[in-house]
Amino acid sequence: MKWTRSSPSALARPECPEAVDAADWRDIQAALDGDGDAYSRLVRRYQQPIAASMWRFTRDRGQWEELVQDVFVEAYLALGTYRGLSPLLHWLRRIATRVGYRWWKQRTRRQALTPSLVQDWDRLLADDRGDSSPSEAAQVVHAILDRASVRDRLVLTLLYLEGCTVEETARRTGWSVTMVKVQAFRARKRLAKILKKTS
Amino acid sequence: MDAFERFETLAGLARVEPIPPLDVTQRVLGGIRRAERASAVQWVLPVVSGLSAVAAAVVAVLALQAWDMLTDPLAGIFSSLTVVIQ
Repeated sequence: MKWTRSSPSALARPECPEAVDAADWRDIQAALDGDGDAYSRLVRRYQQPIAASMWRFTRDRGQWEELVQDVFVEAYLALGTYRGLSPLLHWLRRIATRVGYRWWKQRTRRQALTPSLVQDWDRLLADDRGDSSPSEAAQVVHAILDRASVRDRLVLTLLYLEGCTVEETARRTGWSVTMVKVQAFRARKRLAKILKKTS
Repeated sequence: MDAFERFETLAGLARVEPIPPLDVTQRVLGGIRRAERASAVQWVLPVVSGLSAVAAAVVAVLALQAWDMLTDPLAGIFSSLTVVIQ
């Protein structure tokens, strides 16, 4: 498939940076030249790890697929700005975090108009006795995090659900390390209050 | 184990949850085509509105000139009336 796309990179082909896989760099340059097949290859290569990240943002399958799609569309539109300073997956994960965060914010605005099903979440928490399967545990964790503010939820999701370090969380969110530490401290305190109230 | 430690344990367990497989390649390509069409429309709109503004300015200038021409015959009528009244 051929697309019409004009990009400065199409004129001057830069050398593959050390941080980037050679195959990725070739496909990026080809995609910038308008080769749709090259971009399909990139999507196929990275859709599973990105899908895993987006699964932390929603457990609704339809919404999840839409978010993964949004990440790759946004990445394509910004591909000309990718300089290869970090591996492509890191760059895609930053976009994924931004897309997920934006979706949470929009959803929170919509949810403000409809009452949340608090009783259902309470039942879900009460049902858990510590011998849950990963799926059940994830359901409970998502239900708890759903009660936190969007900012708290983002930092707690990255630190506890994704298992990121503070530095990795800072990279993905675009916040400073100090900011992540402060936000995490406050988020933990607020979540502890929510948990206490729930139990 | 306090409530937050329990949450941490659950989050650790949730981390190993198997993720369903998916293939969004075709949807991504469709999304890119739609986004590119939308950005093309975004480029066309300011151009069209600019052209409309230029056309409106030309019409305004012509209308002013026409208005000036319209006032002259009326002035002629009033000047003759003034002579009759005097």
